[in-house]
Amino acid sequence: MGCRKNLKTLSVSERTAFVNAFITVMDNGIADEYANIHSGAGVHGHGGPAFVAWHREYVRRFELELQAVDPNVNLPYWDWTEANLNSAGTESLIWRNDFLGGPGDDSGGGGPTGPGGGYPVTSGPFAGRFTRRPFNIFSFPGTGGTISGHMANPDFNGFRAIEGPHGSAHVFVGGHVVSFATTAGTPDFWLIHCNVDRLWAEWIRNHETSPGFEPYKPLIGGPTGHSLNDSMWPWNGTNVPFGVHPYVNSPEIVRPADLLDHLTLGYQYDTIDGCATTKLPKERIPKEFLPKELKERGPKEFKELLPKELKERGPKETKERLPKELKERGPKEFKEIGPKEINPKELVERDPKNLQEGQVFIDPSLRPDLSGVDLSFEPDITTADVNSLRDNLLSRRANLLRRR
Amino acid sequence: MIIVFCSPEDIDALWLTSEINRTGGNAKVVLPEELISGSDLRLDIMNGRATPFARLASGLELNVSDVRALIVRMTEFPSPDLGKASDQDVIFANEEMRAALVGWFAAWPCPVVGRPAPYCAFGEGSSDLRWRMWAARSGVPALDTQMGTDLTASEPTDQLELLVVGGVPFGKVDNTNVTALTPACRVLASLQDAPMFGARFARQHDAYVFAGMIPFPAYRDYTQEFVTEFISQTGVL
Repeated sequence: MGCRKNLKTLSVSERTAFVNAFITVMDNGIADEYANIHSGAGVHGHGGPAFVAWHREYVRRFELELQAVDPNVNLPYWDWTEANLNSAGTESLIWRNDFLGGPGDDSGGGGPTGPGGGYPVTSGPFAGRFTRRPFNIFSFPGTGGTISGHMANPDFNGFRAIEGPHGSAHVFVGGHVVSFATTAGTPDFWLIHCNVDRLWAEWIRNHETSPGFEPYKPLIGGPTGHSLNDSMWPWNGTNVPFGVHPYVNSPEIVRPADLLDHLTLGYQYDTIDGCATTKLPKERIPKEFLPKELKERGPKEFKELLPKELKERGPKETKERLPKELKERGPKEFKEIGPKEINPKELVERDPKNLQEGQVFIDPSLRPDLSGVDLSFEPDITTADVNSLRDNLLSRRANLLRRR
Repeated sequence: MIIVFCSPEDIDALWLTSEINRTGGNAKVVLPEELISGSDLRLDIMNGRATPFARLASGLELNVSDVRALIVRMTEFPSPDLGKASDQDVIFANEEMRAALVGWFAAWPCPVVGRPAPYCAFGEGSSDLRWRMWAARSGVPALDTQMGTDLTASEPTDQLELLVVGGVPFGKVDNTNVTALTPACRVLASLQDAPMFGARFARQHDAYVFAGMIPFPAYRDYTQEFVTEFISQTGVL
């Protein structure tokens, strides 16, 4: 399950993957299609209860478009209530040149060249594609106090007032990002709304155990498309304000009621769900994926290289960390599909000494079925790197002692 | 460039070095003894400013322009080799070297993890008792402490160990949901001059309260996201 993270915690490769995927959907016209939908969503997705639900569906669909380009991309979110600077306060982590790029460039003089007081963005990967205000990258929209108040309110109508402070983020960036018709064509829009979506998920998590809690309302009687079981434009194929293909021909029923639990939609948030399962310890890696130097070593040396927590644990605890697919295969099942079915003659024929090129020594049925195993943890193994660093240091220490 | 001072036996420091490099940073390991053996170690003082510099025997140059962060995992200061000097001369030389190195490390303007200073989390003047008092005075709920008792023996066994990077807490891989302790960690971060440190919390009266610092966190035990956070916070890319 994908993890939506604070933009501050993205790795270099995650930043690059997001930017590249976004530029791809800009170039192939998909971003414009989404911007077009947003331009018609005035009364459908704004100014009412469906603000959070409509945007949840909209944002998720766009994220799937990005993942069609690169399945490793998850939308990051921008918590605009803080400055997003490095600890030294010398660098902005959002308006940097390998991510969203800089503010609008008003150095050429003259007035704004785009909507919302926008000047062309001239730095970063989106240079020349849209406009922003020439804001100070060390400032930020704020609104943290207002949002905290809405988050503390257990009533949905109190919470959904975050639509107000979310607007401050649009206004702060300005340019194409503040214009209703163009905002969804910018990456800024998606990071803002990913954060709105996170706040809804967090608000539900914080209050869901309160007596009488309602994660959404009204049940009935709201404006069209805003009640819990109303289907929402444009996915329901309605032609007002305009129809969007392919939904006018193949309507889909998407209701706020379908969107109350973000986990069922297939993504997590770092602040709510922890997202730990995506980066489980590397020791889960099946032997087939181990680097050569680890495979060639005997059990004793291998144990020395294991992380401390595994060294101290017995086989039982180690088993707990196995992928589910491997854990569920107990000795009994293994026995049933294993040696019993093998003809001793076949075993002789499969003696490695008699192996010809292209033959398989181990019957494939004896191998664990890894086709469904979650391999989404980090594929890199740094044990070899650590060994290399250690060897290097030991050799340097020996040199120092020799010199003495 | 990030410089990690550690011994070849410090696997956690080596692991962190390789993780930083894998994440896109540029980290190099240096033996503490390399600072004083065959090196050009300097602390230039001019116009009231001290500027540290070192050129190691390996050719690696440490200067304030290139070094963006230091991670110091030294458990002791390296001793100069004096051959057949008397014990008293050795003691004197060690003290001089220690003073020089404390000054040298103190002069680095970049973020330093584990700066060897008397009252940092890692210094010899530090103690859990002192840290609990500082934390409590700053509004962080701290473990009840009775003066004169064995602090460790009287602690609750339900403990949570965190790695705090720029005020953001990271739990161990089996306990990542530690955001509730963020406000306390931010205050602890503001109390010390370190972009990353380990802190212990103990469960008392149905809540986790601050119990003490962890001088040498076992980095491998924590969620790897802290490496990205460290790189982001120190701006070393």
